[in-house]
Amino acid sequence: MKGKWWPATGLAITIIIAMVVFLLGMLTGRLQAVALAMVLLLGCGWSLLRRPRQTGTISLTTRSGTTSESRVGATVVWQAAPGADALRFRTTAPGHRAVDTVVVAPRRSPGSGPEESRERAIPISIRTARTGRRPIFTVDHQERYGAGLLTASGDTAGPMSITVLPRATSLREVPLPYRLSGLTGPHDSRRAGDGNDLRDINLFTPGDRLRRIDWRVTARRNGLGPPGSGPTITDLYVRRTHATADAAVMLVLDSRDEVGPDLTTWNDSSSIAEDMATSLDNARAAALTMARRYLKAGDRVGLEDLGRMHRPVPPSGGQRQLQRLSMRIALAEPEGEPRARNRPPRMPSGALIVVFSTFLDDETWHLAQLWHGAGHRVLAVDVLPEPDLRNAPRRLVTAYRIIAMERKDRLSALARSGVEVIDWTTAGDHPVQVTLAALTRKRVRR
Amino acid sequence: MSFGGIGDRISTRVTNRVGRWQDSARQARAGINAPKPPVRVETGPTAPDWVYRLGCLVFGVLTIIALAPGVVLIVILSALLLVVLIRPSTATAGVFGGVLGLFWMIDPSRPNSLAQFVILALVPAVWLLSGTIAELPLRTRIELSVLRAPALRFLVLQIVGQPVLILAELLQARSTGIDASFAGAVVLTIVVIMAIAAWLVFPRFSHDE
Repeated sequence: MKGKWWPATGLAITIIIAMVVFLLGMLTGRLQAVALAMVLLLGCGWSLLRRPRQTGTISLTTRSGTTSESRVGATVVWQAAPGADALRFRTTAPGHRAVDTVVVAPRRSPGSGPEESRERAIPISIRTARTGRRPIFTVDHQERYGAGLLTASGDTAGPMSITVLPRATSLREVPLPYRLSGLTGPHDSRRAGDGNDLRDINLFTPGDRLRRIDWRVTARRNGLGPPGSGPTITDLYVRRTHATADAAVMLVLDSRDEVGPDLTTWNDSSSIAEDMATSLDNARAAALTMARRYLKAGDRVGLEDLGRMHRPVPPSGGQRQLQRLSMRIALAEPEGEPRARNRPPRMPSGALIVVFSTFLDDETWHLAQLWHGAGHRVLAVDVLPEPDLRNAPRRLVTAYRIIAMERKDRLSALARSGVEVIDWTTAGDHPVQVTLAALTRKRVRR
Repeated sequence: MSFGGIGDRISTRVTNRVGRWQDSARQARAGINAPKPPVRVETGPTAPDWVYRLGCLVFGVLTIIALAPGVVLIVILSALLLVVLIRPSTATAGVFGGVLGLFWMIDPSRPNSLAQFVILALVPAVWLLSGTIAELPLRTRIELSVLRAPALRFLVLQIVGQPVLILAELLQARSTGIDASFAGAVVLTIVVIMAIAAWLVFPRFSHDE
């Protein structure tokens, strides 16, 4: 609030010209010109004498409830200096045209004093298909007063980083791992135990619960006793059910690279248009969709981020785990040159592994095969968006074709080795839901 | 040294250069076909900067019409008004008003005529409006309520300036000769200075109420 206001050039020029006209008018006795000059001088004097003594402050705040929508918003909060007329600000955001705006100063409340600062909140927003944590809004601002006769120093607020959470879509059926784990859960395991679905009828053995005795079967199996003594029960039969179990799912997010549909932006992810989802945006959305589906079903879900040499999020269940995964997935992003891994990340025994990657290099392909070889069921989710070759130079198209052929070979090799490959970006006849539903019905022999 | 080698190099360079031109043209075309969307800023009712410049033009043209000068003066004033339109500020509008004041001194309007009223009203209007939109790009969205403070100042200046000029002219008309003119000007000056002082001291007329 301790900024400075100083007279602009317009003030000096107006005063000089008005004084000249005024003096000449006085000398020649032309009252009309004198009056005109006096009016201008009166305006200058008014602006100069009643100028603000301080400058206001600008801050940027996020708007709650907008970060998981397609529109991302923030609020420019202007703490106006007493006496300031207006605020000029330029809002810039990546992939958007900067907008210059002039807004009026908020009016003083009736009970406030003349020196009390006033506050005005101006909502700003952009439409984006991108997710993750990125610096979005930058606001260059300058307060205005007195028809530009006095100017204040400008300043810049931001850039403000906003975390845009990916949007999860709904899935009906999802595949399960080859082997379920745990003693309770939403799925029926092959073991006999405490569950709902009938497994078989067996003789009562120590440890069986009495309420599991099937009296009809017991009566039918035990014959009649000696005449006149009634039926004798020698064996008890119990209904045994399948035990329930839950599935452990590990989501493997390949955040080492981020490429958009436009080939010309593949060497610089910062120039990707805002209305185009990148491979990492697709991966985030896919990972969160799968995580939410499995967690809602009562399974345990963990996360491994291949772009970071950190410990994975261990599989766990519940709403809190979903929140933890949402944030970790949203914050996954490329961090410089990816480092080579000496050994594959360790996965929980029997877990279903879902790899979200572009498969543009051999790393994830190699890892998926290793995990599959270790007995895991592995789903390879291809998140590369459909490339737009229209504006790409010829040599770039040639390079892309070579890369695309290698990638196709990689995905074919994965499919041949038993890894189930899903294209997340496919639309039309075979959307992801259909593919996943088909995988749940697939009989897999191990 | 083979001439074939030189030819190959030249053709390669030309091909590369043409390829680069094609790439840049392709990217420029892509940029034109997919213009960037603007950031959405939620404000009150706004109008673009060019509307306000249009207002300056209208006020300036009306002033020139009211002054009814000769062809040469019309050209000069139009040129100055054009400068105001291209680069609106209190400096350019001050120059426009000053030059117009000089011409008005040379060829004054009839006392207490409509032309006098219009010129005294519109020159400050151009000056205040151009100052309000000074240093703003053409596509700037300006809230209409931004005009509230300049409009209030304009009204106060008019309430002070117009009656004082009428009074001074009436005073001048009662007398004759240079002394009368001088007396009128002195009275005008004193009254205006008193009006300024009254305005600045009197808290009820604070500029933002």
